[in-house]
Amino acid sequence: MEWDNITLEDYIELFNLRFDGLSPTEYNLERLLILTGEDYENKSVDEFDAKVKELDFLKIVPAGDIKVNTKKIKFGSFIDIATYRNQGLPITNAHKIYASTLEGDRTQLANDALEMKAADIIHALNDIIVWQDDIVEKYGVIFDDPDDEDLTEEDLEEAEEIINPASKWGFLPLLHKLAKGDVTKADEITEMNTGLVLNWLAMEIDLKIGSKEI
Amino acid sequence: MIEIRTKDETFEIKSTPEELTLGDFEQIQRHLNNNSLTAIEKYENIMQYLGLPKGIVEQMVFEFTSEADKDKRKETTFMQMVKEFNSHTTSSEFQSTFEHDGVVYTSTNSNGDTKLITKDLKLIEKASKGNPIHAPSTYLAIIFKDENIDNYSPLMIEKKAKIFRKNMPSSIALPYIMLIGQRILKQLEDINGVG
Repeated sequence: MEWDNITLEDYIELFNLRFDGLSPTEYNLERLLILTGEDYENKSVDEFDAKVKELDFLKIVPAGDIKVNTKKIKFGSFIDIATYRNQGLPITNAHKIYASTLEGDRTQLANDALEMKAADIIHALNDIIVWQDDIVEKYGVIFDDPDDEDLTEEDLEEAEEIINPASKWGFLPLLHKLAKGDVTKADEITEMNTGLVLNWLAMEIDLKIGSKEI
Repeated sequence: MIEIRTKDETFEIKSTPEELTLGDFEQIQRHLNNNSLTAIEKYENIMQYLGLPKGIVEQMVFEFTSEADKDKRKETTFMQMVKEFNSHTTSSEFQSTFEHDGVVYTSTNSNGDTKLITKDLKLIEKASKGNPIHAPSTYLAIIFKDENIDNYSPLMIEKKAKIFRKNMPSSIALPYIMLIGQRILKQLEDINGVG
């Protein structure tokens, strides 16, 4: 057993075992079944223990071979990535998040990702998450928490641009604002580069263009 | 045995792992783990369970403080009773055979290898989540097998557990119970750190 033989689909299945309420032995039996296809229930305890010990390699994810060009990620993908992250732990949607950074049929790309090496996708996922979190921090003027104690009453009244990525709507209110409420413009905006879109919006908020005179 | 002496009588109470059955061990643990009781109440309940008449513990002197009393008075104090009851050590050797009513239960094969397979571990872990009072007798019922029955039938496991509760000395059971406790703890630690 080694990382090269573990697909993303295997890894997600292993990961989800943690939440099935299994006893330690059941958990390890399931892990061995996923990775080796063999049922160890009738093996001696010593043989089972030795095999479980071989799973220690799973504790460390090796470096992956995929590099995601985050500079080219479109705004629509930025929103999709955030939506998938909001649906649960990122690893369970790792194939969809990764597919969001690529051009083409998303469903097919996501299915293809499931068959790829887990280590590659996990590292790509980490790069994507770090990129998105950095963006949210960089564009704090757009994403500031309306419950922030530093915001005055006046700030809150003017905070029509405040978007909370963790809310059930995620970044969709942002798209709504950029399209000025016109849903026919949504496609155009989602095809634009993420950095360009957020720079534009941050500038509008900072200089209060659009909502007030400069 | 320990002796509990009052002014008028002397009582003998079983106390060694060889004298106490697995069922006695379970009941003693039940009282010791009952956090709604004080320490005195716990031992009062244990002694009554083991046959000491009710009221004897209540009448006991807690502890003799003067040397004169220690020399002169022969009654067993509460502290002396607890100390003597807990003073017995358990052998860590694993006995692999238990015989009762003509049936031989074994935990090893004829060549001395343990009969435990992974399926047994699964059942033991399941038992650890069930009735905590009777978990130890269930563990032993899974570990010790009778070649003439279906050892994985829940009814057979329950039947063996009852037999062991009443008849198996805790000296046979305790090394296995400690081993299982250590194993479950280690597995939980291992799982928390593994992806």
